[in-house]
Amino acid sequence: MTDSWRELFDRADDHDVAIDALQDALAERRDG
Amino acid sequence: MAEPNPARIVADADVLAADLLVGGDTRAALDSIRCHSWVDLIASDPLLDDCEAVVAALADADLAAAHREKIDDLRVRVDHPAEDHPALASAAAGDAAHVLSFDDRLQGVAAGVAIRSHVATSVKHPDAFRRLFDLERLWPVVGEGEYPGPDTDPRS
Repeated sequence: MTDSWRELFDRADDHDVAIDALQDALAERRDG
Repeated sequence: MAEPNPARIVADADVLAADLLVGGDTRAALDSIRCHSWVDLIASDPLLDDCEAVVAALADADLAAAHREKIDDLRVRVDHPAEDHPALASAAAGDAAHVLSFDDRLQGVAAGVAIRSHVATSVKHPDAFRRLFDLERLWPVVGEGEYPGPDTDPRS
């Protein structure tokens, strides 16, 4: 049984992530 | 090119990850998909691979796997060649009218013209999408009668 979106968002609250970091991580994965 | 479906949306991997890890306006944009059963999230496996890798790198692998499983339940799966851009190729394969992305290289007039020469879709920042995407105005295109409003719990 999968988590609900509410449960996932609650788990994600433990992490402090900025959008810039997401973009950098994705660019690094796709562009090398 | 097939006519794009205005109720079919692609969220690039950075947007899917931001929905989970940042929230705010991006989560509100994705909520418009989650709370309407007649709005489809289109995504390929490579797009989900990218999202899972980003979430694992910036948060943890268990959360990334659980998030992927949840998106897998929500999405309409499409396939495309491995070398294609996962978001744009998902839009092309799924006839999605909208792509949500934070990538500046995919936005703007010149980028839009170049993309639309290959794919009939429009790339938008999630904030712009949230401001412009009007479910009540879209409803007559896909259904009959008055707009019924949200029909699913976006947190379920």
